[in-house]
Amino acid sequence: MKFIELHCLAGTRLVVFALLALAQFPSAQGSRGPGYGGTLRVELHDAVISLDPREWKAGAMESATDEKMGALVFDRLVALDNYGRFQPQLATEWSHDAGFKRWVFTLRPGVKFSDGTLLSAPDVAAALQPLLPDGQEIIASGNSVVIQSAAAMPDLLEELASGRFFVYRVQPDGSLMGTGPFFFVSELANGGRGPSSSSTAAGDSNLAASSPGVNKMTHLQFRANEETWSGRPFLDAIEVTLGVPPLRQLLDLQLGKADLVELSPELVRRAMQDNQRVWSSVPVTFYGLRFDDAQPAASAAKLRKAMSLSLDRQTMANVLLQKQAEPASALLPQWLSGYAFLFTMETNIDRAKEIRATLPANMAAGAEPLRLRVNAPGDLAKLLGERVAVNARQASILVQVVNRPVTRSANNASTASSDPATGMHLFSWHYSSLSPKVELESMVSTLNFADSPEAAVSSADPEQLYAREKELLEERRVLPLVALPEYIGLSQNVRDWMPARWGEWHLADVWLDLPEPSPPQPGNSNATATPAAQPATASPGAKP
Amino acid sequence: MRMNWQVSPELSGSLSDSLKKMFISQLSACGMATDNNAEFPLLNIAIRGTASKLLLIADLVDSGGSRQIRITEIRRDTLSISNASSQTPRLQRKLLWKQESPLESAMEWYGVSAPEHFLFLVGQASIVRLRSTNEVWTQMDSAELPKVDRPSRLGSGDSTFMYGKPEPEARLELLISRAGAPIYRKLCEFAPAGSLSLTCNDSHLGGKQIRMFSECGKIPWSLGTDSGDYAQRDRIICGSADVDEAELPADEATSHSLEMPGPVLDISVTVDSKAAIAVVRNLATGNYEVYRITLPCGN
Repeated sequence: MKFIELHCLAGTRLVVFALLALAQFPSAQGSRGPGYGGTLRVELHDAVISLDPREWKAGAMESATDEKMGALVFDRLVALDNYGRFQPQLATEWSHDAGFKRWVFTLRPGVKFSDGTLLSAPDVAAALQPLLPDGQEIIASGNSVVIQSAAAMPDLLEELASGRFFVYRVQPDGSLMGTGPFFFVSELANGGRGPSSSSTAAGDSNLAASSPGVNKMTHLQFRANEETWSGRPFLDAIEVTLGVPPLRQLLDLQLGKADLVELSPELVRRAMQDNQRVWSSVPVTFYGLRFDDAQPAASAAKLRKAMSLSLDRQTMANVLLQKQAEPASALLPQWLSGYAFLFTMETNIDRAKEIRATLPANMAAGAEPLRLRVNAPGDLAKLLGERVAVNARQASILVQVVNRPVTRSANNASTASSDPATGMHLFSWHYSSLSPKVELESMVSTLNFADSPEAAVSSADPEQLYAREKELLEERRVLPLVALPEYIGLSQNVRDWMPARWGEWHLADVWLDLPEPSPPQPGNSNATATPAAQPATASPGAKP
Repeated sequence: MRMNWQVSPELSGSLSDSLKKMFISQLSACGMATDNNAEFPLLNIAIRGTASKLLLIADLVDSGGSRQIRITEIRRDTLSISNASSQTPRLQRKLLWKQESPLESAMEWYGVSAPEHFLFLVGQASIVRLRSTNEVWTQMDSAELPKVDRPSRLGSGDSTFMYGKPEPEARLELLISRAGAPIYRKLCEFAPAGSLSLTCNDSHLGGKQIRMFSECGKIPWSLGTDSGDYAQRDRIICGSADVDEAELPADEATSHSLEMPGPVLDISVTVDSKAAIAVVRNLATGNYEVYRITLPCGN
């Protein structure tokens, strides 16, 4: 027998990474296969998360974190892999009629929620109906669900494979329960490392996460779901610390106190210089300016054009953000629309000045500067706002930056449209849908920057989408600035990190390269287990 | 009209020039021809991928500067032969080289920054570098392997490519093992495109351990040879990661396996992880042959 193991896992870049990692440790006994056990320590900047997909707001920055945590607990009907292929999840088969108006999804049999009860078609229908857009209806039919609409839904798979379209069951106490690879165990005591004593009983897997109390927690623990249909994850548990400042996250990674951290763009170079593992997604966060309608229409169009010509996006991306961002010339990124490269954004200060000179002298000038309200969270948005003001000043447009604290309950849309005295808003938008049509129309409706809402495209035809986006950009009610990837710092012992390039983490596939446990010494009754040997504690799905 | 054909880098491997030729022939069928005359309108054709689709974007700029854009799309998953085929990679092989003298291991190398294409052949005492010119291999040079102090009765020994570093480092590593007492192991590093000079150090590496990523999804696959000794023909078999000998597919015609003309002496994964290079002794001819084994995904 000459069996040669070639574990062929997806992602060419990953194998190169794995090989490089091997090359760094030539004395190691080759590469080890995946191993079970251990607790992955994750640190996040957001201080609050919601594990209720019904609460997630389109485009909101915090929804990105919510989705990542949601993916631990819940599953979707389908998933999209990095090669553009839809993969079965809770649905094993799907079909549609000729007009894409009626889709049938056959559900995977035998799927259990984390309390051990079976998933049914009515569960799926009840979960997804509140999440589907108006006009789309979902009906349980035997072991299938049918999604139908009067309008064609050619992009339905992209919709269902992304964003908030997770399947859950609402429990009598209002908490949510999922079928995913992990289940929510508890909020840990602040600074503590052990589970609280009151939250491991069956049926309460997401109790704290969807209750108001979750807002105060700093540590969350998710434990492996032994019963999950997709196979037990390699990790025993994931411990999530919320509200950790960016610099602290990097330090914790360097000191071995964290295994997975978010890296803010300004810290990426520092992390790389320190030989930390850094992963980046495709651009997933968009920053732009949105104009109010406070100015006379004719003047406003000229002002918008002058502002657009004054913006130096290259400097924003390459200097201000240290090449960790891309200048944005479109609303949707290239990886999502496929046609973004057709758009260009010109910078021409001289032309901007000429246009400015044709405007009323008191417009966006001394006594009445154009007010730019920064609605996006974080220091990065403030920096961008200040840079916009600097660029505008070069074109003789006076911009006053007004920073406004953004609360979780106040998303981009509500803050953007509630203050008519403001001339411009700087907003952020996190792409969450894999359907360009859904994402574009969601952006337009949430941020309310379309001249004519009825112009929304009714199909997912790329030529119509392109025309729609071109029209929106030519109106200049919204001006793209930059688009940022997500940056993740990883400890060296995190293995099989195979995220989707648009930012889904896939932590169920991750395993930890833990040190071999020392054999217990004879007579030493205090020999302790490594994290890999954590005893299985009460699982919501466990039988008594 | 003039035509500018652009394929985004991540797609260039799967969309070959044949697609361009097909497009041009279809243009001809519509009564249009391409010409590099600068006075003709410029047609930019771009093929771009999104998360789930491929877009063909035609951007026609006429002599007056006006622009017409047409976009059509195709779902990426419809490019696969079927969902099942994407789940189960098909094995393909291509003969790269054969010779009479014994071979222990081989490795193919593509330069990224420079258009070099090398094949390295490891014999019992030397490593030979071949260069591909118009798909014909010609020997460039060779280097001796480190001497073995004590010859082994086990014969050909066990030299194998361990792993490589992609550019810009661009290094390959060769583990040379010889049975004996003590077991002789050296790990040799060299630059594929530079002078063929091995830098070797004693190694404590254990058996061969290779990891490879398929392009057919994230499901792990095992690739191996079936049971038998060096006097029997081998199959190279692809199965799920937990496949063992007892579970290997029985049907030799199945797409899970690939019949080889003799025993597989060594198999290594290329640096870009898109292929495995297998060294086989052809039992019919006695030649040592080098095959490139790939797992095409249907698209």
